[in-house]
Amino acid sequence: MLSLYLRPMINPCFQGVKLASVLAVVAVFIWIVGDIFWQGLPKINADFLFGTPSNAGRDGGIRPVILSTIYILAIAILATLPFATLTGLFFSEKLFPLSPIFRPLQRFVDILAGVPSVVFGLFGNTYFCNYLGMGYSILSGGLTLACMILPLAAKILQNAFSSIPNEYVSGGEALGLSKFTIFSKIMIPSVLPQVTAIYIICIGRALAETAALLFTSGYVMRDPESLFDSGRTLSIHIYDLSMNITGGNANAYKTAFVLVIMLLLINYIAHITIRKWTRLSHGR
Amino acid sequence: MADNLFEIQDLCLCIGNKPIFSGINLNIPKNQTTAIIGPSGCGKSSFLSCLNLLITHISKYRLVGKICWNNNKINDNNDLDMHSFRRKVGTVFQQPMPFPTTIRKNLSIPLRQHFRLKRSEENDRIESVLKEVGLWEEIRHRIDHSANDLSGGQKQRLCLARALILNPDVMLMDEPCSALDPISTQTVEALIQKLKSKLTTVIVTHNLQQAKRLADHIVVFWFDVQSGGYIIESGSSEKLFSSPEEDITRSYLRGALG
Ligand SMILES: Nc1ncnc2c1ncn2[C@@H]1O[C@H](COP(=O)(O)OP(=O)(O)OP(=O)(O)O)[C@@H](O)[C@H]1O
Ligand SMILES: [Mg+2]
Repeated sequence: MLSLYLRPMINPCFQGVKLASVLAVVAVFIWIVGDIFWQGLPKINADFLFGTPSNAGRDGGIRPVILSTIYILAIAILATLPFATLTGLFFSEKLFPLSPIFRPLQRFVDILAGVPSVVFGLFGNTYFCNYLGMGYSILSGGLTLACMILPLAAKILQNAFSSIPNEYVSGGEALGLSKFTIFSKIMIPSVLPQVTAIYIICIGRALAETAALLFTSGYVMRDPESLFDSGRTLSIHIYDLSMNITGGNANAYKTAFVLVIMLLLINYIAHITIRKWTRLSHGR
Repeated sequence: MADNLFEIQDLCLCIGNKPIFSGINLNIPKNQTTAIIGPSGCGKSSFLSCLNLLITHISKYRLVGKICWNNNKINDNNDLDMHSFRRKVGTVFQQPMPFPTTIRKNLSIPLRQHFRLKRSEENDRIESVLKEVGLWEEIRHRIDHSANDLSGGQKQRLCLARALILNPDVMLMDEPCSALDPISTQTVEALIQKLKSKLTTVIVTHNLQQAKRLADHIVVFWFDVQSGGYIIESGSSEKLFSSPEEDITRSYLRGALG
């Protein structure tokens, strides 16, 4: 009986809770972004973006930091995509049957996706920096990031490949298409939208990561002259300025502002590019 | 026997431990239309996928017996060039599923796999095959648009076109009209009629009227629980529809014909 009286209340209550949680999320977002904009935006100018840092980063610009970030990002993405694609294809069993011996390997990929980034940093330091002799360098940092992103990217691509209808593959086989043609002309175009997701994850990780990169790409603030130079990313710069350098807060905020803008910009560019590719291969 | 395209001897198929069909003996004559009819689940689709060897992609299949194509054994034959074999055996599935790309690429991807053509030749081939399936006028202005925006009937005709563009010797069609409305069905049927003169067709259908209209030969599959599917009767279309030998066939035809 009671529930009968309460029932008309449930919907408005639910609506209220829903609205409140949406507002809470929006408020947090506005607070963070607003704070960064408020503190960072008025002081940003070309000298800051294109200048070199001085006085341990308290003064001057952040050009070397931006450059290092872009390089590390590019290496991470370029190294991740081919491996993630092949791993995803392998586990999706769309083109090649997977021998049961290999199935448990999927677990490893899942576990790897949950390993904290410090562990990857340690691994990168041991393997890329020391064992392969790359030292503290942009290359080591990018490759370490790639290792970090790889499990998740492979998982996303595996799901994307698995969701391709079997009819596309058997239709291709029935036309006598080679596996490579089926893969490159039919399967790859179908997973392009998920590649966007991977880009965005890579970018997010690469821009946000500090722990793994401290061990591998180091925190030198000079313009990188080659991929074997050490270089710090924006996040490390922010971390360093706000934690280790007294009086670095102003520049930390400005850098954070640049970081947020860069994040939005790269997301947007990735989005546009992928949409263009998709349109080219899927038709308008 | 040069006038049989396929000769099938004592063919049995099991998937896992389950017998799908057994004891199939059948000749499929060249340049004629053979219709396969029978109740659901008796293995008609599985039989078709033995003819184009797509069955080899299923795990745990076991195929015993002999399938000859132009007098060459094709099952368990490592010397068979699968790609050129499949070029000559066109397949149309029940669900029209063009590749998720443009209409043009649906045709040019298979074409480029098997032939080296100049751009202009390629475009001519695409145009002529689209004319053949009666799509050209409808889609010429959006040939570079997505094939997913086509209607069901148009998609099925595109699937026919992408098989036809490879100049196959035989078309295997698994209920090609079952996802289509009556008007599209008519268009596709008319197309099959037109193709009859120049290629062999094997068509699985649940529509007995359609089988009657299209086929020269009818093969009736039946099903029993122990051994799976088998052929209960086969013969020329007139004979089978007018005076079937088996009681089961008679009642099946009567029941389904109403
Ligand atoms: N990949 C598979 N794995 C296991 N069993 C299968 C597989 N494909 C088909 N079968 C079984 O084979 C039998 C015949 O299936 P098939 O699709 O060939 O029947 P069909 O005559 O085409 O039926 P319909 O007229 O409904 O299309 C069915 O019992 C089905 O369960
Ligand atoms: Mg079937």
